[in-house]
Amino acid sequence: MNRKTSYIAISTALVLVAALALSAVPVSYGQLPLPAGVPRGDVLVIENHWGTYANPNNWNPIASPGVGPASIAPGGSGYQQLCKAFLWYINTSNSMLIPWIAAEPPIYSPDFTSLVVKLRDGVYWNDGTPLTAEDVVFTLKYLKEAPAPIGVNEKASVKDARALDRLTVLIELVSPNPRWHYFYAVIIYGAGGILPKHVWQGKDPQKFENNPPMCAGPYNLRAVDPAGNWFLWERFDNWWGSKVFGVVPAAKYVLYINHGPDEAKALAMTKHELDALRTLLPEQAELVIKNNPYLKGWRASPPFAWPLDPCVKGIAFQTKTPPFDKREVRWALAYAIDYRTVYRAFVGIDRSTPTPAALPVIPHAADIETYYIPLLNYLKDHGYDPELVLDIARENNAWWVEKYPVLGWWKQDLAKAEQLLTAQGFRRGPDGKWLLPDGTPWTIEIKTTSGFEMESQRIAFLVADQWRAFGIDVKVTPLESGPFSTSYSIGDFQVGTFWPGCSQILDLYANWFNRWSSKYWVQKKGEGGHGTGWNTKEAPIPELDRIVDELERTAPDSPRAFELYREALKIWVRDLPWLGFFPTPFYTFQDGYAWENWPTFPENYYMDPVSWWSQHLFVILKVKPTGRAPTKDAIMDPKPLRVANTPLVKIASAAEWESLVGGPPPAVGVTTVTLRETVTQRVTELRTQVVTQVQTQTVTTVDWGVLSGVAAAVGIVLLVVGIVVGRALGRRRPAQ
Amino acid sequence: MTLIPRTGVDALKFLGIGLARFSNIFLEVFRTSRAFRVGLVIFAVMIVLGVAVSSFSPFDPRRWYLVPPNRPPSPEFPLGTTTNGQDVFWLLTWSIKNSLIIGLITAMVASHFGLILGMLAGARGGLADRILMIMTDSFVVIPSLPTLILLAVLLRDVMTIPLMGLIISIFSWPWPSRQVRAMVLSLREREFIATSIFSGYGVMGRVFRDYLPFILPWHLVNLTNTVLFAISSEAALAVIGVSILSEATLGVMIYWALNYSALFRGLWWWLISPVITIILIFVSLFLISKGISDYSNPRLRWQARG
Amino acid sequence: MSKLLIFIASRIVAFVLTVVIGVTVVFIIPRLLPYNPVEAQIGFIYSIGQFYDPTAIESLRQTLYELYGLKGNPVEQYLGVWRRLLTLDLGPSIMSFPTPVATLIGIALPWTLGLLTFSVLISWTLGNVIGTISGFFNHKKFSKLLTGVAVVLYPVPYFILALVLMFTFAFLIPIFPLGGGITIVGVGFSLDLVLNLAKHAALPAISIIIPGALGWWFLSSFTLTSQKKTEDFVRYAELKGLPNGVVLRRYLIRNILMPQTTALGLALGGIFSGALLTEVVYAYPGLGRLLYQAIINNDYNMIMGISLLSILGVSLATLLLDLLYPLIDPTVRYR
Repeated sequence: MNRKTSYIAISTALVLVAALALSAVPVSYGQLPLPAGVPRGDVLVIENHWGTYANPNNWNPIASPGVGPASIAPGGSGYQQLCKAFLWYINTSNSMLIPWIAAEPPIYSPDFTSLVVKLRDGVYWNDGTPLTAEDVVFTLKYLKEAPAPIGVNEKASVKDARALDRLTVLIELVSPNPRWHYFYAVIIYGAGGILPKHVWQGKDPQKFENNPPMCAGPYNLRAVDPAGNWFLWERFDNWWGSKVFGVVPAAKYVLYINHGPDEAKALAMTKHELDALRTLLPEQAELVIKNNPYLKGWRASPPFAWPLDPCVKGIAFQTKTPPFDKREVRWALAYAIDYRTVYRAFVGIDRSTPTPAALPVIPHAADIETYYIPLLNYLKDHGYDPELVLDIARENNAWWVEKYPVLGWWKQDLAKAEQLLTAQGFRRGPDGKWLLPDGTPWTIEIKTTSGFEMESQRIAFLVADQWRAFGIDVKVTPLESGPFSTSYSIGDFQVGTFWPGCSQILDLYANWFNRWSSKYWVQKKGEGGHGTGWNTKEAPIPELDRIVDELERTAPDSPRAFELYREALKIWVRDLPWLGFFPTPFYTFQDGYAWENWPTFPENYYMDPVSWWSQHLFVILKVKPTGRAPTKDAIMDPKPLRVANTPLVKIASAAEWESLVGGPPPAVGVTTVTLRETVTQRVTELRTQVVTQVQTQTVTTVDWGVLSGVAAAVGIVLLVVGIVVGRALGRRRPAQ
Repeated sequence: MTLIPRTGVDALKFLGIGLARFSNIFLEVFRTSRAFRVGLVIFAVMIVLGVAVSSFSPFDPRRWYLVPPNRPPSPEFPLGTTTNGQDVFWLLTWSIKNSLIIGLITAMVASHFGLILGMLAGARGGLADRILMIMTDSFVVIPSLPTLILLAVLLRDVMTIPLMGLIISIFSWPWPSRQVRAMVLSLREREFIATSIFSGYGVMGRVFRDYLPFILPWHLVNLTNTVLFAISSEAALAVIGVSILSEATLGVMIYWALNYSALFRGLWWWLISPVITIILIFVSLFLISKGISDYSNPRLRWQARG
Repeated sequence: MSKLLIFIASRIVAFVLTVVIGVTVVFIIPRLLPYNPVEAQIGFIYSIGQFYDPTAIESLRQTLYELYGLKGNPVEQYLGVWRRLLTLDLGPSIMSFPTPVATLIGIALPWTLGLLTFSVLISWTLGNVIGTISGFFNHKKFSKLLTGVAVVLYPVPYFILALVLMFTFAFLIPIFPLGGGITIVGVGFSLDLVLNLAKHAALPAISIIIPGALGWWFLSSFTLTSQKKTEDFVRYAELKGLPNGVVLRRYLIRNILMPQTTALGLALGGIFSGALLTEVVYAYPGLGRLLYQAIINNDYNMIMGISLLSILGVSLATLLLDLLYPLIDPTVRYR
């Protein structure tokens, strides 16, 4: 044990006595870790949803995927929101590109074997060193040469990279790929960032701790909790973006903090010690809604829940294992489900409702127009009922009912389910329970989550109940994240509440298509083709392989690509490898007590209200102090940020490409995709449309009556039992 | 090794005597100890609720959405309903049954195993003691809750209520075993044991004749503690989510109640019911053990009779 | 060789054997689990929707197996564990790869030590003092009341008590923070820092002390005292007309101290596995929380590291107790 260690240990132990004495002294604020004298109004407090970081001093973003505060996966430390140097962001609400450090979309060669990336002029690292093409080239080569697992993407895809001039990079690819830049474009949960050459050069990519991190963002790391629960960032006033975009973030400090279990987070939100939160179960959300009158969610007033999380939650089948290898069985199980009951169970206390998603596509307005409406008749042929939950949704003022009354699900049809199963050789035993074709009783095990993503667990228990009512024995096995992810990855399950179909953007290939193709399956000993997600299939689907092959040579937002996406969706519906129910509603609360101008739907919806995504930077750049909390260094009226939304890619003609990589770059003619523009237009339309809302009055007091009642009841019970026990003990008098 | 048959005979002999006396003791304790009577009545109520009443349940109370959710206690639902649409009363009766099964299995297996091992080790001494204690110590030193979590995760596919009791037993015997051994070691130095050795009693003889009366009170207290330890271990596993979440046990009830924030939402009937039940089970067992231990301590008995 | 030396040597052999068995069990159990950290990580990458090159995933998988030391048969892995343990290298943490396990334990250990040493000692002392006195005067009113309270308090599940305390003292009457270990910016020893640490440790400590002192320690010392009280030597002392205080001090306490010291020793040794539930409720950054994370992420090396520490802690405590027994209880001889 070193000195610091023993010092913490000893002082903790010693002063606990003092703490017990202290308990008489009430403390109101000062619970947040801030430098001395910093008022609450200078700080934006955001939930660290990841929890306690085992090693809060490791800011190496590349050493291992999904690890450490600075890693790509957990956005709990603030690194990917405030510090990391990204070339592009993708605006998830309209699937368009936001060039950030890059000046414009990447320009691909006509055959997609190379691309050119142009950087903005005037981008600096926070120590004043210019961020140039050298840094980009260094990053790609450094990652390519580092030992695996670092840079697996770069090793597989980059042939060579070189700077054409101070701000232009030419990247040559191993094979044609019109989506290469997705590795460096933030889709949701971070992406590759540019590494500062002057910091990383000569460093061991695995051991270098990068502490404190060199940022290219509006904040610098100010302090870290030695215990790993919080991270404090301080505004950097010479940020390059302030010069280029003319904006300075209002908050002097941003604090990412883990208050503990959900109960603690809910309590913190009611005490205004947390400004933005990932989500709570509806029941816990209730506590916050009742006690925080300034609360905002996806909307400024109830219903609060954000209904468009990028992953459609539901039930996935292991399509390799009998009897789930038969699409008829999967369909029978789908018809056995009463979707209305499931849907109703997810209606929140604040009348939040999920957005139904029968397809593995998140029903954003753009997606509904691109996928749901064009495929409607095809879906109806398969038992889709667009009005299945329309009444429930309408009662609760769901955002989509007026404009898009087409979102429904497969209608429950027990007769059809019965018939499908019987045709496959299933029959009912004497007790009415289903027997497998070989005559043994049919028992389904549903693997589900435990301790995280609790909404999925609820789905599992609901579906199990309905299948049992249909006559199938169902066992639900909740698993912690470790075993849950493993059983998904190696395909060790029959049925599980996995979410193979996350779709952040309209480009379905990037979301999950690539894993559908049999050429990416992994051959395991003694088994057939095996992959992750849908590809737990024994046999390849040739038409799907063709679609994937063609998509790999097609610009991701070209009209042809959209035709192919729809074709693939039809195959998906035919085979139904998993059942998507809906993106589970997230209570992404935002507290309007100290800060305002949060993104709220529909009137001010400039970004999804998702604090753990990298895109939350745009929210942090836009919020303003309300003046309710005392401020000192907060900027009261920050300038609005304006960034361009551009198409996903540019494709140069042969001649343009020649001049681009040959001589000094001339103005490049750009092929812009028209469909994309229409979609964008409609999205904008949707945003400006005013949705009539029923204002629910928020009750602003704690339910003291119930609480004191409970406390009194417990006290009385304890007292009574104590007395009874005491008397019982006492009756045996000693006969001296 | 003539020791083994002799030990066996001794054990049987004294076990027989013990059993014969048991009914007399029971009646006498019941007559003299009010604590015992009260405890027994509470425990009997729990048994009746868990075993008899639970079988009258009009439906499987584990199923969801069979009754309207979030109802406070009323004549129709005596203990209210849960957010999952379960009737708390019927759910509670099922939970009592399953939790008692877990507790009793652990108590029967673990505390007797620990008692016998501890007494043998203490009484035999020498190599046998060393080996038994190394075994015991190995289990004492392995962190129990984390290992229970690992085991519960490991065996989840085959997990049943009795198996849960057995798994919890793994960590419930070593501790009493050590305590018993310590007591035997201390007793061994007293004169009457030496007398006993010189009078030719075997190890088993000494164990049952001389040590057991001294250790029995402690053992009975430990027995009740083990039942409670098992029930609360299961609750601890359940709170982390590694119990059998689709079954009905007191722990699983608490898990769901916490999961749906019953505490903060004013659904007190959902959370309080299993907690009070656990307390009542413990109180009843404590009173029973208190009654027995007062009686079975010969000197206390003498004192009581004047 | 003297009897004493033989005694000590045999206890040390027993100690070593205990540790070997313990480590073996802790090695085996996690490896039987139906999941492995590499596949979990791959699954996690899929589930967050990160865009990966499909061919890159497979190479990622292979490398991770190698890096995490999961290649090779179980015997090789087992020998590897011992080789590393003997060189005091606990390997890299898998969930925080490539940070060494030892570093992470070093970060968490002081928190747990500070919190638990304090609360275990306090609750032991408090519980035994109240319990012994109540046991001695077991027919008095206060004794019955305390017993009643203890019997009711002891079985209340830990987690619930902790949540109720948090709700009461961090929300309704906001005296203490909701959770965490420390919330102060800047380093350097100061009164503020100390107070800050104390405020954060207070609620976790209280939720360990209350059920400990008023539950287990009270009940066990109460039972012991009321039993011992009836034995001849105590009655003899009482008949001699010695004042209660003297009987309690000179005759009873020694006899009660012995089993209770055994228990304290083991409880102190057990500190090294942390207070899992309490630390989880209060987001306290100790070993218990670390171990819980390691279990749900199946970080073999971390589970092994913390378990080893805990095994060593408890077996050292046991060893010391064995050696000290004859000092506490003069009727026990070395043999």
